[in-house]
Amino acid sequence: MPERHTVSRRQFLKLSALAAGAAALGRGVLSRFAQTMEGTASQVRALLPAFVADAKTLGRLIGQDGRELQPVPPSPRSAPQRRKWVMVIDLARCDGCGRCTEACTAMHMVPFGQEWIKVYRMKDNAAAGAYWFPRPCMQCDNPPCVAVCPVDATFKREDGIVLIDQDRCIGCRYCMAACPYSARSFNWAEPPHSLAELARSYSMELNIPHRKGVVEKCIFCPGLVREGQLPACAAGCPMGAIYVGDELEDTVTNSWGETTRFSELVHQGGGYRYLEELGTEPRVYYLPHRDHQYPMPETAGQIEQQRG
Amino acid sequence: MSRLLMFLLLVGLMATTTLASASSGQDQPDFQGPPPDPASLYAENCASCHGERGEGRVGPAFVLLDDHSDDEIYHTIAEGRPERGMPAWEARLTPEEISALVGYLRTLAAQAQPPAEEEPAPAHAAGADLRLVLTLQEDQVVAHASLRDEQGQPMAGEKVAFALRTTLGGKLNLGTFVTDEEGVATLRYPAGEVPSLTLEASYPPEAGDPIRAVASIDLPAGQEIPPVATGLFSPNPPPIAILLLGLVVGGVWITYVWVAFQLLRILRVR
Amino acid sequence: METPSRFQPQERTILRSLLHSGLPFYLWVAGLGGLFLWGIRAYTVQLQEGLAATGMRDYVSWGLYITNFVFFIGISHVGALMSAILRISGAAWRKPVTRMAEAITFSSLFFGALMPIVDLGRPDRIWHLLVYPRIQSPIVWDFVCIFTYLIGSTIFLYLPMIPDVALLRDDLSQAKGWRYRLYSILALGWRGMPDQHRSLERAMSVMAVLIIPIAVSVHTVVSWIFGMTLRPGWNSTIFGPYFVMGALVSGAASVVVAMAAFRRFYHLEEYITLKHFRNMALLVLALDLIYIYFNIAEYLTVGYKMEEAERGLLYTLLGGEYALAFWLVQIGGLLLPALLFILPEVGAVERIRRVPLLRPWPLAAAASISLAAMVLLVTQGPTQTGVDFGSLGSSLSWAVALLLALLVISTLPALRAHRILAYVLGAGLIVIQAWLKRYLIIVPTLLSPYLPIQDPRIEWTTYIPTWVEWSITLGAMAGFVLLYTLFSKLFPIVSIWETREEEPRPAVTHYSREREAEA
Repeated sequence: MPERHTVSRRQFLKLSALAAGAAALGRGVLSRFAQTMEGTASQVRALLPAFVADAKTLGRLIGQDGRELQPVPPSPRSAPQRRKWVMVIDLARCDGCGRCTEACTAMHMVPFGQEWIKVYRMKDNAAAGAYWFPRPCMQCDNPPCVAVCPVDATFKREDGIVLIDQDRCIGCRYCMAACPYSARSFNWAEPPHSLAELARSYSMELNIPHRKGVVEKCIFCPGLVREGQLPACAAGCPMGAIYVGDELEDTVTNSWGETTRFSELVHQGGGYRYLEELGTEPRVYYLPHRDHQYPMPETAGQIEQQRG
Repeated sequence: MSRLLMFLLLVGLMATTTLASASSGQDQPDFQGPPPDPASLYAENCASCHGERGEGRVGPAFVLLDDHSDDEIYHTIAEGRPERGMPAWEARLTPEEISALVGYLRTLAAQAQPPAEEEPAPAHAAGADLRLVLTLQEDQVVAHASLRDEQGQPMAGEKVAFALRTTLGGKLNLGTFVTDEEGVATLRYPAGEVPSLTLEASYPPEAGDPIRAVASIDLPAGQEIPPVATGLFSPNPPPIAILLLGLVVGGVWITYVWVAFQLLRILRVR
Repeated sequence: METPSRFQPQERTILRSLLHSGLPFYLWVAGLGGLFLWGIRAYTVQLQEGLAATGMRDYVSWGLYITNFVFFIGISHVGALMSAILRISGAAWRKPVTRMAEAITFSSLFFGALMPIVDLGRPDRIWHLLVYPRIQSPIVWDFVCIFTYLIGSTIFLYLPMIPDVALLRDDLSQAKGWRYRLYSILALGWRGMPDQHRSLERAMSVMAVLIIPIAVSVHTVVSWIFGMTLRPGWNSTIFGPYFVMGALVSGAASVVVAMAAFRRFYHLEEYITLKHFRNMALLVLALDLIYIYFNIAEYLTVGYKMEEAERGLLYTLLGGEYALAFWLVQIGGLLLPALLFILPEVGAVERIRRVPLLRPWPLAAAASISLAAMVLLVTQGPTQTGVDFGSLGSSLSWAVALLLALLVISTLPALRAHRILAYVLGAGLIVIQAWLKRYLIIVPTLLSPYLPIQDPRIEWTTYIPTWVEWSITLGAMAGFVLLYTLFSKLFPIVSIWETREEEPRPAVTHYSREREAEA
C-alpha cells in the first residue's frame, strides 16, 4: 500500500507539473494569438461581412466562453452516410446579392480575401445578356485537383465531396493550377484568426482553424449536411437559388423550403454543368438564367473591365 | 405595376447589399435595426398571423392581394386595420421596409396554393387517429397509413397525403391516396440506394394543420455507392501501371547497384 | 599498363588552374558566395512571413521559383546529351568538353531540385512526399525521376573522373593534405590495371545508355506537370518533346558559354579550340532550329483555330502584356542566335558560298527583316484583336529593316573575325531565352483561367515578383555557378586521361575498340 501511495503521489506530481506546463504553454499561445487579434481585430471587423452567424451554425457549437459545446466532427476519409450530395444553382434566381458568400465566410470563418463560393458577373457573348454566376467548388467526380495531389491531401469521398486534409497538405499548389474553376485558395500568410476559430480543434469537415501555407476551398459543409441541414450558402440564399440534396434520394431543397426531384429539376430546367466539355463531371448543376425577375449586371463594359 | 413592384423589391435588395458592404466601414445612423430584407421582416413581423407562406392564420391569406394596388397594400400595412385586429406598422417599420414587404407579399401571393375552400375540416377529423407503418418488400418501401375515427373504426374513402422527408429537411409531396374499406392508404415507394427513408402521412390533406404521422425505415446496405467516375489515373492508377512503373524505376536502380558493384571491383583489384 | 608519371605541357595548364587561384578568382567566389548567402537570407524572410512575401497570389500561384526549376532542370540535360549521346555516337571532339557538360548537369540539377522545395507552402512537411506519395501525381513522377537522374548523373560524372583523380593523387606533389586524402579516397585504388579498366568501361557504357532515357523522362515529366492540367496553354500534347528540345538547346548553349569562360580564365586554348566551338555551335544550331519548329507547331496550331479559352492567352503573348518578352524569346532568343551561328560561316566555307541564298546579303536581309518585325510588333503594341500584323507592311517597317540590315552587314566582318564571340553571344542569348520562355509558359497561362479574373484587389490579379523572389532566384543562380566553379577547382574540368590521345587505352570491349578507331 505505501508503495502504491508513493506511486500515485509521483503521478500526481507529474500530472501537476504537466498541468502547470500546459497552462504556461496555453497562456503563451493565447497571448500570442491575442496579440494577433489586437493587431487585426479592427481589420477583421471591417472585413467580416454583415452576416451574423446564427444559432444553427456557430452558436450551436461554441459557447460564450469560446469552448466547444459539441464534440468536433470527426475527420473521416470515407463518407459517414450513403449519400451523393449534389447542388443545383438556378441562375435565373440569382440576383448577385452575395449572401451565399457571406454565409459561407461566416460559417467557415473564411480568411479575408478568400471566397469559397464566388459570385461572378458573366456574359457569354456580345449579344447575350449578362448574368450572375455563383461558383462553389464543383466537387467533380473526375477531379483534376485530386488526381494531381502528390501526397493524398485532397481526396474524393464516396458521398461526392472533395475534401482537403490540411494536416497533410504540403502547399505545392498544384491543385490550384489544375482546377479549371479557380475554386481553390491558398493561405499565403498566417490568416487572421478569431478566438472562436482558434478555440476549435481541427476537423477536415470544418477546415477550422485556418493555417498558413495550405490550400482551402468550398467543401459543401459536410458537418451541416451530416446533420440534415442545408450548407451555409444554400441556407443563406434569400432567393432560394441554391438547391442541395442527395442524388440517391433524388431530392434537392433550397432555403425557401422548396423541395423537388433533382432529376426533374435538371431535366426540365435545362440543367447544365459548367465546362462540361472538360470531362470533370461536376456535381454542381446550373439552370440557365432565363426569365429572371431582378436586375442583372447591366453593362458589358463592366465585365470587359473585369476580364482585364 | 409589376415594374414598380420590381423596382421596390430591387430597392430593398440593393439597400440590403449596399448596407452589407457599407456596414463594414462605419455605422449608418439612418438605419436602425436590420436591413430591409423582406423575407426576414415578414418572418419576424407578419408570419405569426398570416402564416409562414402567407397561407393565413389569424389574419387572412394573401390570395386576394391581386385585387389591390400597391398603394392600398402599403397603406394597409402602414396604418393597420384596427377593426380586424391588425396593428399599424409605420411606427415600427421604415417606409423602405414596408415597400419591400409589399413586393414580398406579391411573390408570396403568386406562390400560394389556391385557398382551401371555406368547407370546414370534417368534424370527425379532430379525433381521428393516423398511423403510418413502413415495410420493405423487395425493392420497395410500402407505406401503410391506417386511419381510424375516435371510435376506432376504420375510415374508408378518405384522402391521405404522403410526403417524403428529405435528408436535408425538405418535404416532397408524393400525392394523395384514398383509404380502402379497412381505412388503409397504401403507397409504394422505390427504396433506391438511400440508407434510410422517412415518410410522412397527413390527414386531411387540405387542412392547414392536419394530423401527421411520421415513420422511418432503415434500408439495408444494398449496393454500395456507385463508384466515382474516374479518369485513367484518378484517383488511383491500375495496379498494372504501378507495377510497370516500379519495374522500370527498379531496373534503373538495380543498374545503379550494379555500377556500384563495378566500382567495388575496381577497388578490390590488387 | 602503368600510370604515366609526368604531365604533358598542356596538361600542366589544367593543373595550374586547379592549384593556383589569383585574386580575381577569390573575388568571384566571394561575390557568388555573397549572392548565395543573400538568397538564403531572403528565404529565411519567406519562411517567417510565408509565401505572402512573394508576389504570387491565388491566380498566379506559381512564379519565379517554378520558372527557375524548369530552367535548371532544362540546363541539366546537357550532361546526358554530351556525355551519353556523343559518347555512344563516338564523336571524339567531345572529349575536352564532356566533363564541363556533366558538371553543369550535376550543379544545375542540384539547384533545380531545391527550387520546388523553396516554392512549398509547408516545407516542414516535405517528408509527406515519402510517406504518403500518390503515384498518379506528376509531382511524384518528378520526384522519382529527378532523384534518379541526380544519382545517375552523379555516378556518370564520377565514373570517368576516377583515372584523373588517380593521376592527381599520384603526381600532385604540391597537393595539400586534404586534397591528397580526397583524391585517394575518390580514386578507389585505381592503378590503371586492365581489370580496373574493364570494370570502368563496362560501367561507363551501361550508364551512357541508361542516362539518356532517364534524362528524357525527367524533362518529359517536368513538362507533364503542366501538360496534365486542363489549363488553356498547358493542355497540349506536344509538351513532352517540346520541353525536352527546349532543355537540350538551353543545356548545349550553356556549355558553349562555359567553354568560353574556362578557355579564357583557365587558359585552355590548347584543349578548347575553334573546332570545338564550331562543332558545339552546329549542335546548338540544329537544336535551336528544331526548337523553333516546335514553337511554330505549338502556337500556330492554337492560333489558327483561336479557341475561346486559348484566345486570351494568345493575345496576351503575341500582342499584349507579355508581347515584349514573347518576341524577345522568339526572335532575339531563337532566331538571332541561329543567325549568329550561321553568319560567321558564310563566306568561310567554299561549299556554303556556292549556295546563293546563304550569301551575306540574303542572310542579312532575313536577319534585319526579322529584327524589324520584332521591333515593330513590340512597339506597335496590342490592338483589340491581337497583333497588328499589318504594321509589317508599312514603310516604317522597311525603313527599320533597312537600317538593321546595314547594321548586320557592318557587323559581318567583326563576327567573322571573332567567331567565338559570335557563338558565345548566340549561346548566351539562348540561355536567357530559355529562362524567359519558361516564365512565359507559366505566368501568362496562370493569368488566363477559364473563369474570368474578377478580383477587386489589383495586386492579386497580376504577378510582380518581390525582392524575396528575385533574391532567391539570384542566389540560386549564383549558387549554381559557385558550385560549378568550386568543382572546377577540385577536379580537372577537362578529362586528362580521355584527351591523352597519344596513349590509347587498351581496347577492352568491342565498343571502345570501335570508338578508338574513329578517334
